[in-house]
Amino acid sequence: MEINQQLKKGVLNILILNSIAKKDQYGYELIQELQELSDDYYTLKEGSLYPVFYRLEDLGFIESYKVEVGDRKVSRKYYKITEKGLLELKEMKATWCLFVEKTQKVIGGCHES
Amino acid sequence: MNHKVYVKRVLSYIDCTSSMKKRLKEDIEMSIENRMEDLETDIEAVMGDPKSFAMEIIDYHDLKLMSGFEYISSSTFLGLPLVHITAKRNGIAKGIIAIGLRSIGVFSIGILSLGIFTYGVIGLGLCSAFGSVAISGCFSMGAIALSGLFSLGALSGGYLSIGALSFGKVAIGDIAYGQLALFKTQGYGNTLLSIYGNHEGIRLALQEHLNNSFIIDMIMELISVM
Repeated sequence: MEINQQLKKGVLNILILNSIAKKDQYGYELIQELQELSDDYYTLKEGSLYPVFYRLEDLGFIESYKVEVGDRKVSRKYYKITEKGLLELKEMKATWCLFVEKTQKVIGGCHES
Repeated sequence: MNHKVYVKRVLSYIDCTSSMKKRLKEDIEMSIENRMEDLETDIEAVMGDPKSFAMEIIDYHDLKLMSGFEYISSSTFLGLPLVHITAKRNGIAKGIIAIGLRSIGVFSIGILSLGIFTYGVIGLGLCSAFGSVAISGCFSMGAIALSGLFSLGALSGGYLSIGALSFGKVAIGDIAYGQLALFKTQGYGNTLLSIYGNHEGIRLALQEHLNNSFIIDMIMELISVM
């Protein structure tokens, strides 16, 4: 369980950047997308996303803006990726692929005991 | 439980910088607004209980769980918790009744307390304040007491002030400075009367400055035992 949690934490940055690169999103929307695309593997709560957003925002990889929606005119904070974020995502993906490839090579595949 | 109390409870579990708390507060409030279909919906049914919500933030981002006792009542009045008690480091109690190292409330008790009726080492109250340093609009009592109306303290200042060293429109004390100064050792001001002098004269002088026979009687009683 612990390694599962640690792995999930480790890939949050790349998952979030990747999702936002496709289209501007708000927190809850992103959670739903991750859950759906991962067949319920990533069942995150909004609380787990906030500090990741802050970190990525502080690093200049994403930017936020508010939009009023619905009859109640509630504010929704959308995030969009920046040029710097796109470059970072490219680098992250390259690192991720290398990580998976080398780790697979060492542990010898996913379905072996 | 209303939204504000929910957010307060979530944040009370998280040990992080004030700027992080500010950002979290804004985002949690926004999430609640977006997720709640109407204000009647049970907030915990939608967002989970405050501690679990806070633990999610803490677990994922290597923050610390805030230690120390804290109680925030679910009942609110004018948007504020009815009772907020905190013993947490950097915690500020905010409520109708607020008790903490730092407290802000209608009835506020703390090392540093602000509010309408306050009791603290340093108390700043709109109506009354008690404390080592007590400052208020109407009634202050403390080592240093300053008030718009009545103050009682070692060092006191106010419209009517009583103390070892007092100053005000009517000042009564060992050393008194005022428009009317009733002094034991030394007086400064316009009308200076020793409390050991003629009591009828003191009463007349008080009647010129204070328009309340009850207060005048109380002062005369006090002077007679000084």
